[in-house]
Amino acid sequence: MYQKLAFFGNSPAFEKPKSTSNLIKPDMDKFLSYIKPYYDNEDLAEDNLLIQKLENRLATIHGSKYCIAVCNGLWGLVLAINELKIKNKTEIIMPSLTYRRMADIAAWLKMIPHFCDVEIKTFGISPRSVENCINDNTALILAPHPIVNLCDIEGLLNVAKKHNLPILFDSVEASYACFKGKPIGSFGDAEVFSVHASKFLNGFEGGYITTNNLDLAKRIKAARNFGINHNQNVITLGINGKMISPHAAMTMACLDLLDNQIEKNKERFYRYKELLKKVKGIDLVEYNLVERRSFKNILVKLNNFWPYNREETLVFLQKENMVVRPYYYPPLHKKKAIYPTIIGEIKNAELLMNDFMLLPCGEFVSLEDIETIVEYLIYLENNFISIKEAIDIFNNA
Amino acid sequence: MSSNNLKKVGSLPSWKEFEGMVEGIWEREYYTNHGPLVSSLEARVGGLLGVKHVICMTNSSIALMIALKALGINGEVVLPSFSHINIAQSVKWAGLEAEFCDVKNNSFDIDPNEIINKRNKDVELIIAINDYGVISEIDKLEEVTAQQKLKLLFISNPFFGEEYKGKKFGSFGDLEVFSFHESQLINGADGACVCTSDDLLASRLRNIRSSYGAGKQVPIPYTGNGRMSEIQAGLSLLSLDNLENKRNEVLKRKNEFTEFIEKINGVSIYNPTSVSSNFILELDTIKLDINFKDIEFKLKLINKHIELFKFHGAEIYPPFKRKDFSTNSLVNNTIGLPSNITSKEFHDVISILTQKNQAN
Repeated sequence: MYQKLAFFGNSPAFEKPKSTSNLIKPDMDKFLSYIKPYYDNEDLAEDNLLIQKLENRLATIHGSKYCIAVCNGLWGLVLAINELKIKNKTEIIMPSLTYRRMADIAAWLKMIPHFCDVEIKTFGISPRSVENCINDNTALILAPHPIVNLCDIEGLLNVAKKHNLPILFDSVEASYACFKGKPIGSFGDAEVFSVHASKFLNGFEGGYITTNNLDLAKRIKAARNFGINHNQNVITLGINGKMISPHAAMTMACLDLLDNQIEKNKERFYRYKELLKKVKGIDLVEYNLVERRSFKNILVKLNNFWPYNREETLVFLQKENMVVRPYYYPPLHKKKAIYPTIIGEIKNAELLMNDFMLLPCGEFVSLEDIETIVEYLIYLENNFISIKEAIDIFNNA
Repeated sequence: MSSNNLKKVGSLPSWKEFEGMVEGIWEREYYTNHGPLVSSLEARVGGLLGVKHVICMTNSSIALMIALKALGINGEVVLPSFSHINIAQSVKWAGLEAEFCDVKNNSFDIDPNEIINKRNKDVELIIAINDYGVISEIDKLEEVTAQQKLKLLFISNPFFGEEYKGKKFGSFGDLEVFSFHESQLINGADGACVCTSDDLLASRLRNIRSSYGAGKQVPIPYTGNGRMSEIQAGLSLLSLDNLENKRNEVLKRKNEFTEFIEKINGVSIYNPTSVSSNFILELDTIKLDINFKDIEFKLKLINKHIELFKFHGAEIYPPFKRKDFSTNSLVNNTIGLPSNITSKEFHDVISILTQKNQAN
């Protein structure tokens, strides 16, 4: 029976990799029609009407007053933090169980990441843990929304308010979500999004920042243009952080597909949900059905009935060309860094860090593919004794 | 004016070529993360410039920040005092201190004698810039930096594909950076590449840029997203296909411009025989009877990539004032024209510069 698995040298379940990246493919003609006037005018690198149209469209979607498009999410975070942080303070409070590059963002700013814990319920940054990390050096709270659902927005806003600290949300994974009926993008001092091809909107590369603070919007806009503002004065430390027009046109074309994408994501999610009922060892992390969600990511927990550890499971599935990923592993407090870091009290992240993984999703994954993926999970669960025996033989051969 | 003169040279390929390239991306469904077009661009640039490693990036500002981290230096960085504020800002972002070095009299380029005579012992890197027909004393800088065990980085945007003393640009110093901004001959909308023959340095650059296309894993301080997308690479490749023609066209135009302005009192092209794709107009503001401030806006309307050098030589710390270059005529009375300037735009520029004289 174990001959089914590519791990033992058989052909993989999928010829082309099925990844956890969204890779939305917008209509090519739409993309071309958005870019054409700017192409004809040879106007692709600098701020222009297309960039402004995209910014206005995104601001409307997110219910924010202002939006600033940037070259990618990482530099968007760097520039937003640089403008928002309390001057002369050094620490950024951020969760340990998050995006693997998050601490590097602090390093570019010559600041110190202070790692806090997450909540078991949401996987999101814990307001109580944040509060425990606050000290005289705290410059800013960086709150990334988790892969599925949201962190405790109200709890975090209360902590920020109580301690008079700026709070920035990294909302890339919550791009389409609402909290109490209000779209994500209008909370805290600012929110940062990515339009990297793997994310909710595919802009090739790119990102944007939403805020209701006019002064902050002006400063970030200057920062993305070498610190030069609309009056041609240098007002801050900047970089070239501008989004280019081809990336803006791609993002616009993806926005045209929004409703269609959500429908497809829901279909995929519900197919997983239905089929995974047959797998005793795997629990699907559910979306909040009361509020608006993107249904993009498929996160599962390997529970006590699952007969393999996560690393074994990842190897089996990756051999089948299912590009499954562990959920934010290793957490940042477990990574070696050459720059200073501060580790707060972290318990929940340690409890969560070994049990969760992301299953294939996005444009490349059909409903039939999901059937195949779950079929392999069932196969792995049902045949674990013979498979484990075969691994021993295989390893000894 | 013929239609040919209205078309910008050194800029974008035809719409049909662009559509064809886009169709390829849609077929492959590969959008970023070191895709096939980026790999192909790096290989082709490496072949053309005869340099072992080419690492493509988002834009030249991010390329420079990543290059500075990859060099692994901790000391000070010497750069020409008359350079775009972005150069010093990148140094600052990389956690290093910028030390401004005088530029040579009536030029923009760094004075090697300054480095020899006044160098602080904490200096580890020299940044030299080749731009607008101004070429640094490359051989002298290489000699001085080798003697003093300093690292050397060149920014050589408009000399892409050209030679200096029989050797192609791209192989000078420890690293050489080229911009693929739309104002340059290679137009990736924006973008850049970093060239080096040093294997370890190349690996460090790739590892800092992103985990995709990182190749060999080497220790790095931290990462930054410097990825170039497939559409940027596709555009840059189309520019490369047509590089020879564009280059010849640009140089031919520069000759025509030079001949044309010989008759005009108060305007000349700096180093007109240089192979630089962009160039400088030197102005005698007294003869022309113009106040620079009055015409800045009009010039930018003609072509937004006309460089007025307002943000060259500016301090990066508040109040961000521009330094005083009172004795340097090239610094104070020049405008930079981009490689994509058309004949019509050029003549419009000249009209604005000579308006007062004509009226008289």
